[in-house]
Amino acid sequence: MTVTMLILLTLLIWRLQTHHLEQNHLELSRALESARDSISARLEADEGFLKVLTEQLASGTLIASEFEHLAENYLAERPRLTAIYFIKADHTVLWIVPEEYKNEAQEISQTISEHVTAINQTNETGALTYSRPHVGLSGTQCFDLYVPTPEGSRLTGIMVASYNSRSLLRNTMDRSTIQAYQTELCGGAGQIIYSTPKVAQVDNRLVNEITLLRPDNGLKLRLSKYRAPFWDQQTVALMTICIALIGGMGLGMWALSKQIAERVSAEKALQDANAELEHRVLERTNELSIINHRLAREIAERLEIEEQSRRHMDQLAQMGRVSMMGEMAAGLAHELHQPLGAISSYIKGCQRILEQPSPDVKRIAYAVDNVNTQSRRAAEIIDRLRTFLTPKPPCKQPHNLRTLIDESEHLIEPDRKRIQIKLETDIPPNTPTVMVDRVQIQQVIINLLKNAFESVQARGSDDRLVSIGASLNGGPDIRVDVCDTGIGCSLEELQLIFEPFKSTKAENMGMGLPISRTIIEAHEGRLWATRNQDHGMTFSFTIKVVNHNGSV
Amino acid sequence: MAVYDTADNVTSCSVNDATVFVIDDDEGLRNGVAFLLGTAGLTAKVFASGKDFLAFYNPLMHGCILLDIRMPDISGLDFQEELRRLEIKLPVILMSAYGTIPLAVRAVRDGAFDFIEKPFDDEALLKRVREAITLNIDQRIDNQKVKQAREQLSSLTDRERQVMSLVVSGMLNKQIAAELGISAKTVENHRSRVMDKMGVRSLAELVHLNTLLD
Repeated sequence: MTVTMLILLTLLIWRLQTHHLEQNHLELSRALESARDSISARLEADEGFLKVLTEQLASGTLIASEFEHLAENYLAERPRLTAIYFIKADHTVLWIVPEEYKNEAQEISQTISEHVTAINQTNETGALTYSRPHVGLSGTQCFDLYVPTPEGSRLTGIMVASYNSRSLLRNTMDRSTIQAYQTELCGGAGQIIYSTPKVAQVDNRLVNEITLLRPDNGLKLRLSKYRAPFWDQQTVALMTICIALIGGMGLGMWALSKQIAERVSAEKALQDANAELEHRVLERTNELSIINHRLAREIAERLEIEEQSRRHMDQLAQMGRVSMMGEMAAGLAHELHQPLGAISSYIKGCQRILEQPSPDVKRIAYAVDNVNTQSRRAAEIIDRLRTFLTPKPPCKQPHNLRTLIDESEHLIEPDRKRIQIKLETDIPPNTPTVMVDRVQIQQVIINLLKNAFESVQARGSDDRLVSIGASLNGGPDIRVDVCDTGIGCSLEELQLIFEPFKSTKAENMGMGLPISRTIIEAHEGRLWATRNQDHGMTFSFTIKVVNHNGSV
Repeated sequence: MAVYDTADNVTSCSVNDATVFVIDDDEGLRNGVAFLLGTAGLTAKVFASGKDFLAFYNPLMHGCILLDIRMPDISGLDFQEELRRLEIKLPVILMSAYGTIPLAVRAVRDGAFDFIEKPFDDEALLKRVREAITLNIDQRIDNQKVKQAREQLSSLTDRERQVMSLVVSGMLNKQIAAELGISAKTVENHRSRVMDKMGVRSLAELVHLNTLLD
């Protein structure tokens, strides 16, 4: 494609060049003719002027001074003419303008004789002639115009105008012609008389010459076209367009091929992607099914955990209630200290007053009044405490004792771990169902376990064991024992162990065991304590079991 | 309420005209305590809160504070901090109840005079209160003495102060004269003027006063 384009372009340029050459030839001919015409016109004018002079001379009306005057004026405006002179038949110069050439009259007559063999002969023909080109006055290349006096004139001779070839060309030719062509004047033998300076290489195909004068003196004007740069403006423009076109086309084709390549690779990529996608879909499907399985399992686990946590919360609530009871009891006890402290102060004050010689009865009355108020307040606080400490009637439901104990152990596990107690559980596999208030019974179990832990902790021995066991003795009850290896208590303390506010522990209210006993008794059971033989104590309680027929 | 403007007044203030500031949010208890203190010949003022006390107190009052450690608006410890900030130097006896003993111990370590447990033994309470008041009076007297000694010291001329510092360092008049390049007679004159101005009659008193100033 590109090659075809290049061939076409070459053809086009060749055609253009041919056309260009033809046109140049035409232009050359025109320039030559135009130059000849313009030179001829001037020469004709000069011929006319010389004819007038010769006629006047012939008629005897022209005198020397007038000739000089006319000729000088004529010359002044026409630099192509070097001189105008009249030469007699004997070859002597009669008149000559400009004056400086008078000294060269001899030389002139000699030149004349070379060119005009017989003036008389010339005169006889009566026709004007041009001399051959020669070196003339002041060494310039010149040629002469001879105009003979007409027949029958008083003075026979020739009027001569001497031309400076260079000036003739210079002042006659168009400026544009001189710039475009090397202009040359050639003599009859082809010798160059004058040449304009050669400004560039001439195009040998574009040379032409023309005979300049009539009558012919062998003088020829030759124009040679200066070689135009191959890349002239037009060609350059054309070439630029073509190159741009070709370039554009090439670019277009390149882009197209690239696009095609891209499309091919894109199609390939698409295919790959499709394959990859299918693979991924397959993979993902597998993954999803795995995830589904896992999710199902997780949901199940989550449900289980939620259930567990719900149960745990339930249990914590129970624990909370137990600890809240302790806290409230402590608060109430503190509150009780205030009225008691006040009462004590009043009484002590009264004692002091009474020790004085004359006691102030009014002050005693004031104190007694206040003691009364404060003791009422104390009674109110105790009432509130009692209300709080009295357990609600149990809400009995069938429960597995083992479950109750397991859950209680679970709840107290953090405490056990913290103080590093070994807890042993010994419960027969087939524990019977009991009708109990779950929360209340667990409170009792936890309270007993806690007490046992604290007792072991207080003793600080390496033997840190607490055990909980259940036993059926064939009767209607099941018995639970909590046994510790702690500090135990004295016999006196054992007597008071279930009395309220008899705690042996600094941070304890001493309400746990009384409450526990109240609860167990509300379940128609018994709670008691025994001192172990070696260390610690055992707390035991009994609960009625449910018979196989469902009755208690 | 006594006003202690001068050293004479401070030295005359006693346990009997001191005030026990009872601060407890429980009205019954604070009135009871005030009654007890009254029967023992002490003046008690009761306040339901630390804020009430601060609103009432002025620096000319002396005595001690009987403060319940557990109060709703400000804890005993924070109140002690507040007293320190306000430069109230009354000794504080904390009244602590069940479960607040560790707190009370910390308070004592923090600068409280002592703590007593509720319900308290009246004799023990009165004893500690009296001791606290005495401590406060002593502190005030010392403070007053120091204040007065500073004033007296500032009335000395430079030369007299020079002489005084050399005298309390144990130098003899002759040595002082040599040290300062003056005659022993002049030293003697300065010395008697120092004793005069500082209001002391013996060298021992002057030395004691100097220790207080340090």
